[in-house]
Amino acid sequence: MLEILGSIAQTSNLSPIGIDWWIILGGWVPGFLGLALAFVIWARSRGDGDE
Amino acid sequence: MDSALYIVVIAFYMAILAVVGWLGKKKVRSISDWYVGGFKIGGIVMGVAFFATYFSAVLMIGFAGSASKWGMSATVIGMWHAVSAVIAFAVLAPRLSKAFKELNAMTFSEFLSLRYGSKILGYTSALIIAIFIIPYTVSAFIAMGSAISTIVGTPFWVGVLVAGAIIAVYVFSGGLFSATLAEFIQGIVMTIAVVAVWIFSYMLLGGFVQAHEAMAAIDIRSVTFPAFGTTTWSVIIGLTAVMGFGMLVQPQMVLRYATISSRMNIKRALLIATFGSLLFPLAAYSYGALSRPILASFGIDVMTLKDDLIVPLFVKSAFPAWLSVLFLAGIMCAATSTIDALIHMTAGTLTRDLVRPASKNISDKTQLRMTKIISLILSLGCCIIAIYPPGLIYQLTAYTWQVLASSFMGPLVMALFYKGANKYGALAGMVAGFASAQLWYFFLAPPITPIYPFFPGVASSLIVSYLVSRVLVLGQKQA
Repeated sequence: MLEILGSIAQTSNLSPIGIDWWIILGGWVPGFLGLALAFVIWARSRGDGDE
Repeated sequence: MDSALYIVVIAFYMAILAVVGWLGKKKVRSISDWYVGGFKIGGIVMGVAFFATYFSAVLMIGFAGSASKWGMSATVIGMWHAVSAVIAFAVLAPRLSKAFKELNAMTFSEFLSLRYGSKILGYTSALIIAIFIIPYTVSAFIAMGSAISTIVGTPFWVGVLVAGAIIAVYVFSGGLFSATLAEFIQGIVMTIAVVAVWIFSYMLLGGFVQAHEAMAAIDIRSVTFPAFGTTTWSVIIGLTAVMGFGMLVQPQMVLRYATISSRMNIKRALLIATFGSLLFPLAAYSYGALSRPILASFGIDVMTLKDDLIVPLFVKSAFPAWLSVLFLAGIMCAATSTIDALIHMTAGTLTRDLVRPASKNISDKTQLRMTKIISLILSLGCCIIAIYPPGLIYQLTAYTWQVLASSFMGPLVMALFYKGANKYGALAGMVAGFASAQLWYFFLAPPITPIYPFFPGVASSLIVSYLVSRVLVLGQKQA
């Protein structure tokens, strides 16, 4: 198994969690950044008190 | 024993939704209450209702089944849904909810008609919605019917009729109040179900990293992003755009984020909707991808199976009884939470934007009664079509979102962000987007080119809406 993974790692862009970096950078990072932005917008609005 | 347990779950679910219908009915005192919840629906309820409407059983079964073949790159599609939710609530919702309230608009078509002062725009958009939403609704009925028949073992038509009966009970009674309250409950249950299956799938494969190693051992493409220009690449990029950004102008989604009660509630809904829009599709696409090595351990090669059959087979082969029951509950919730939004929105559009203008002196009370009756007829009609589906339905469903996004992106975005936008620009943008998406779909869609009709459709809708409005504004100034 380790040999197979070693040869895979040499020919691909696998991250330490075993998934291609392109998947992480192209999907997971934007998704979590979106969530972080939503949290910041919500947290900043808590002081508005427009209700 | 198992079948009896499933029937108990279904009966319990129907009982809960009947209560929701009754609660909603008590709140409906005016036509505005039925159509837009009187603009009184709170942020937490609407945040959950948003992603419950967004994600249906089609994702839990159909797309997750396809992800079994696409691998972990399918999670890219899901993660961008969170970005779309941020755009919906942080960028569009504040302007849209203000405009809906000021114009007293109760449907998407009515909003376009009032904003641009054009009845033709209202009729045209209502016709496009009526024609293209019905096949999408039917597909959601089919997904639920298939899931119930496969997991419980009942005939397919029983599953479809169960879905129809559930929807009719609470949408008829309480309109948007009942729909969003039901979607709140459904959203929580369906999220618990997919997250449980997601965690269970990783556990079966021995852990997070070990699961990815098991996938790579079968096929390295399961954990890598597809090569540029390949069929899988065009599917991943195309669906990321269509299901993510195309959502922004789907009329049933617009009704969710345009009718929230206050700015503070929009921010609350933003956080909850974004969290749900990240977690739910990430879990669904992941367990879909993970099903390949799991089913391989049972001697089943997913590459030889039809996509729609993979997840039901995964449930039957690998899940313990308690997880199968939970998953069935999740599927029922996901299917009905999408169908109710479609039935509610379509019934409202048909009555208010097509029937009402053709009838003289129709009172609000008569209109409300008529909308409720149309919602019942729609539920029944979609059930019948779902039981005897013509082949064309599947093809229509595949591009429903693309057609709606291509038609409405220009008129909606210009209505909110360009003061010079006028009815001629909006109508031209709608026709250009609709026509270019159709032409691309029939002559240039994958596999002929790797580009989905969504891209040329949305681009032409935006560009033509802007240019025609701009040219007319300049012409008027010169005159």
